Amino acid sequence: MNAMPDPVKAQAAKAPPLLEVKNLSVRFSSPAGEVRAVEDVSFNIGRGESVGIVGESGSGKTVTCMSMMWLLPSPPARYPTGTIRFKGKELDRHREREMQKVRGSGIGMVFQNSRLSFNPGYRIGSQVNETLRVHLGKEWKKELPRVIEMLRYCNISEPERVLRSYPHEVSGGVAQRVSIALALLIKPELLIADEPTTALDLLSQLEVLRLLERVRKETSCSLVLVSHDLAVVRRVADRVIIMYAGRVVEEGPTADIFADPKHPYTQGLLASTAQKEEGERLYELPGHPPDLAALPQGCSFRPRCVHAFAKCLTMPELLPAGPERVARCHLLDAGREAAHHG
Amino acid sequence: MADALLTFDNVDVTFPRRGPPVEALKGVSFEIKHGGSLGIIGDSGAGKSTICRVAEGLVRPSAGRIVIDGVDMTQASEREWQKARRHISLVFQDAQGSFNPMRPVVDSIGMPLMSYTDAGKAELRRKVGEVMEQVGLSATQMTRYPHEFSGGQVQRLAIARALITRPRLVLFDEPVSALDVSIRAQILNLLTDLAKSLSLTYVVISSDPSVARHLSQDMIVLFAGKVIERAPTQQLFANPQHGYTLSLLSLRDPQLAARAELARLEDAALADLGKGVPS
Repeated sequence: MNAMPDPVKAQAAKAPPLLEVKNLSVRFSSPAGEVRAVEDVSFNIGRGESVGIVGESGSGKTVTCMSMMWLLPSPPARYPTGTIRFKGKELDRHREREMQKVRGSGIGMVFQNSRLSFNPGYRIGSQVNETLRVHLGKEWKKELPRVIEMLRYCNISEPERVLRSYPHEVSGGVAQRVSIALALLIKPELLIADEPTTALDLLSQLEVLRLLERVRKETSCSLVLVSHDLAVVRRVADRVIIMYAGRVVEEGPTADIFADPKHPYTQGLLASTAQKEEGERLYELPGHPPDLAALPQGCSFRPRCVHAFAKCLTMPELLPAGPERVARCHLLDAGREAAHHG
Repeated sequence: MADALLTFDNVDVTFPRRGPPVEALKGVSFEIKHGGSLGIIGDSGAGKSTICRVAEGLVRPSAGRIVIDGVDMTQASEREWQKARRHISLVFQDAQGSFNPMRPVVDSIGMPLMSYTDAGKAELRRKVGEVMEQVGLSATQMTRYPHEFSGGQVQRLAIARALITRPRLVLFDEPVSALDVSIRAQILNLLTDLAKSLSLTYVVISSDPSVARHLSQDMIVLFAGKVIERAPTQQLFANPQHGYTLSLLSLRDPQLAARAELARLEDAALADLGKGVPS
C-alpha cells in the first residue's frame, strides 16, 4: 500500500528496526523557564515487537510518543535534536504531506480519551468512512464489509448500531475499541496506544487489554503501549522502557525488569506497588517527581534516591545492566565499590 | 449489632426520572464495626458513590434501614443528620477541586469545624495546625493557597480537613486514583497510620481493588446496585466466588488472570454445548 523505495540499509545483513528514535529532545518555554520535557531519548521498536513506555505524569512518555509522529506543533514545542526513522527512512517533520501518509497507514495511534478524538457532530460511521477514504483512496468502498468484521473482532457486539451512533451515545470503552478497530483497519505496521485503559471502567479496561493482547498474538503489527500502570504494561509488553523526568532511566525485557529492577527508581516504584495485606506498610518512595523547569543537578532522581553518593551530581549515562538491558545509574559503573554507598 | 458503627439493612435507593426509575441500590446490606474497615469495589455506575451519599445522609433510601452507632437514621430529620455528620467525614477523589482556589487552605480546612463549634480564630488556627502536622505537613503552610501544593500534598490537606472534626467514620471515594504512582504509597501508609493512631473506621471506595485491599478488613463487590460478593478481604482475593469478582481482580493479578482466562474458555465451551437449547 505504501511501498517505499528500499533503502540501501535494507539490503544489509540486518534490516533496520521498524522505528528508530534517536537523541530526541523536546523543550517548551514557560514563564517558570525552559521546560525540558524530553531529554536525549533514543530507542528502537522492532518488527512485531510490543514495547511498553512507563512513567508518571511529567516523565515525558506522552510527549515522546506524540513526537514519534511529529504531532506536537512547533512552536510551542522546540526540538533542539532528534531524528525519527521509520523502516530506515527519516521522517521529516517539515514535510507535513509525507507525514500525513505515514500517520494512520504506517503508524496508527490510539489516544487516552477516544471519545474526544471523534467529532461530536458526526455519526461514528461517517467518521470511519472518512478515515478509509483518506487512506485508501477510491477503493475505500470495497473495504466497508471489513469495517463490520473488524468491529466484531474488537468485541463490539452490535457494530451496525455503533456506526449509526454519535460519539456521546457510546460508552468510553466502546469508543476506545472503535478507535483501535479504526487504527487496525488501515493495517498500520506500528500501533501507538497512549494510556488506552486509563479513562475506562474496570471491565472495559479488561476488554481493551484482552484486545491488545490479541492484536499482539494474531497480527504482525508492532505495538507501543504508553502507561503509568505497571500491571497493564506487564501484561502486554515484551520489553519495557522506564522514563523519569524526561529521560529513559531503564530499558529491558519485561520479565527481567519486573523480576530484578536495576535502577533505584524502578526498584522503588515496584516496591511501592507490591501488594501488601491490610494494615501492612508499603514501601514509600520519598519526595515527589521534580519540576521539569528546575531539574536538580546531575541525576534527576538523586534527591529521592536512597543510594545517592557524590558522583550522582553528574548525569549518568545509560549503562549495560545485563543481557539486552540498560539503566541510567552510577551504581552500575564498573568502578562502583561498596564503600561508595555502604 | 451493638458494636456496629454503621449498618445498612436491605437498603434500596431509586432515583426518579422520565420512564422507569433508576435503581441505584438494591437490597444492600452490610455492617462495619467500630475500628473496622470496609472496601467497596465495583465498576462505575455500580452504586459505590451512592452508598457514600446514603451514609452521609445526602440521599435518603427508598426502602430499608440505616443505623449509625445504634441510632436508626432512616427517618431522621435534617437537623439530626447534621449532628451525626460531625462524626462522619468524606474525602473526595478530586482533592484539588474540593478546595476553594481563592482562599488560603486554613479557611477550607477549618470550615467544617466552624459549623459545629464557635471557636475563635486563634483556636481554629491552632486546631488546623495540629491536624496539618498529623497528616505530615507543616503548620506554617496553612496560609498558602491550594495551587502552591503538589498533588500528594493536596490529598493530605483533604485528609486534614476530614479529620478536623475528629470523626469516627471516614469515607474515601477513590483516595489515590488521581495521584502519581510513586506518591500513592505515601498516602496509603498515612491512612493506615491514622486509622491506628486515631482509631478511625474507614469505608474505602475504589475501582482499583488493590487500594481497597490495602485499607480494608472486609470487602463488598457491587454490581448494578447489588452486593454480589461479601467476604473478609484476604479470603476474597485468595478465592473469589463470583465470576464478576474474578474478572475485576484479574486485571492486575497475573495469577488470577490465568484463572479468569480458564473460566472464560469453560464458559465458551459451555455456551457451545448449550447452543440449540432454548434458554
